[in-house]
Amino acid sequence: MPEESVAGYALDSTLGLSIVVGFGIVWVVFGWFLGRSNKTHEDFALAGRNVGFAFATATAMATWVTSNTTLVAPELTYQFGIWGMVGYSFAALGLILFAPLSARIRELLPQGYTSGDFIRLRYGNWAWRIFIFISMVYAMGWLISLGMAGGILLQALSGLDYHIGMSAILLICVTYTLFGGLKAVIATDFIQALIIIIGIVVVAFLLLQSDGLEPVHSQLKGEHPELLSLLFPAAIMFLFNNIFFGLGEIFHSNVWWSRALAFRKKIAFRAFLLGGILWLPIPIVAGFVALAAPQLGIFPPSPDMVGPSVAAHVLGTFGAVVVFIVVFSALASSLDSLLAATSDFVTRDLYQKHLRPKASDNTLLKVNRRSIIGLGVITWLFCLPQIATLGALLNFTGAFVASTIWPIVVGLYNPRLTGKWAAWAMALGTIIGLSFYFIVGFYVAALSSCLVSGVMTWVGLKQSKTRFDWSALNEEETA
Amino acid sequence: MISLTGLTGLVVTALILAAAAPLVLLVLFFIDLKAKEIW
Repeated sequence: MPEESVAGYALDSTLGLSIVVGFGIVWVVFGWFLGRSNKTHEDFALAGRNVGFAFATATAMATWVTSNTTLVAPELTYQFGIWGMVGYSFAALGLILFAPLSARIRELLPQGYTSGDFIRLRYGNWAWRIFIFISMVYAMGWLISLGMAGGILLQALSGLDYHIGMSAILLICVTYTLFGGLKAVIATDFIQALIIIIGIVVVAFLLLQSDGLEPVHSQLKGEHPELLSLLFPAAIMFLFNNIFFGLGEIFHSNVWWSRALAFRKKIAFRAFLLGGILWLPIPIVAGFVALAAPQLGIFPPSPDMVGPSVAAHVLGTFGAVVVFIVVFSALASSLDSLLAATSDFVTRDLYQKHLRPKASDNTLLKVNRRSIIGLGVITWLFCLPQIATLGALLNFTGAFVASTIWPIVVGLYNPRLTGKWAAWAMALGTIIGLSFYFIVGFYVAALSSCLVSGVMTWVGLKQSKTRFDWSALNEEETA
Repeated sequence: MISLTGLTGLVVTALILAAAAPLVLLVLFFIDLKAKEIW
């Protein structure tokens, strides 16, 4: 029975493990090859600040395509219909709106390493330490959710044991990031971006060719008309919370700041803009396949498996293999970026700026590498007890990250906001966001956090009588 | 409610844009490679 195998495993576990090991070996060798040219800490952490347009665009796009994009986009389409996939594609706004910020970051912080550098120099120690706390909560939340997602998804697709899948994907990403630093992360992102898009397009094209949209549309019109509705209230609420969560994720995270600082001068704006535009259709292409599920009689055990289930049902083993490779690439492209950016953050903001301001370049390089191993081990330990609520873990961090949107945007352009008000905006925004998360629900956490932080920022601007000297952000000049 | 034409237009447009993305990335890569501006 096709439905039986779909509800079980779309792929044989030996084949699944072979794909993971095969790709893993390629990524590690590639990372080692690229890492040979890393001579300084700047080479390792920021790829020599000289990344070209093609790699810059691909890494912006591939990092934002996570396992969520490939699996949650179909899930949301399955639950919310048209708005599920269109709403999800609005997350591209995060990349597009970060484009002008990235150009400003590159201009204001020519010697900067992390997002923490900006907060420290712009707002002082209090705001910086609150920001470090927020960034670490988010980074660890995302790392753990990606590690768990790796194990859960590989198991759901192929029956591969959770602990083997989770450990394998962590080991592979830690190893090639350790060898090659940001260069390895960005170069593998380029290849992973090609694999992800081609895979998704092939599956979508074959699905369109096999059945077309007419039977899908008539079946939905008769039995699930709400999925074709453009006025689906729950979907619209989700859309707005998702937009603010996405903006908070991108605007504050060192994953994106380290890229802005690593891209060649004048490349950052164009790369993030084009990356966002190229990302825009992905959730629709990945998501629309879910609309065919009711017509095909597919009712997967877990809604996030609807995409792979439809692909495997219509395209057989070929579809399952393609989906497996796409999901694996999407996980790796985000996990490596997060490992690299968080280890830079630990090295710069925790080690160098708190403990050893005079540390040599060689010491920083060593600490950066050890941080990657340390983060990998901590993530692995947290992932060992399999927690099923991945979405809850990520949505929890929404309350934290959304509080940083206003202090960062206003801080980059308006010289009047002071550190005291930025610190209060982030602290109160996070506290209120968390309160709403527990009292009302996950879907208002980011919204309320962003709103309170915005009010505090506005009051801070009204109260302010000082003007920040932008040249203070160029740390080498002021040292 | 979205019509069949609307749904087809949305999905096919997204598919064409997504299919163009790898080509755009490869063209950019070869331009950078030629100009020796990969890194």
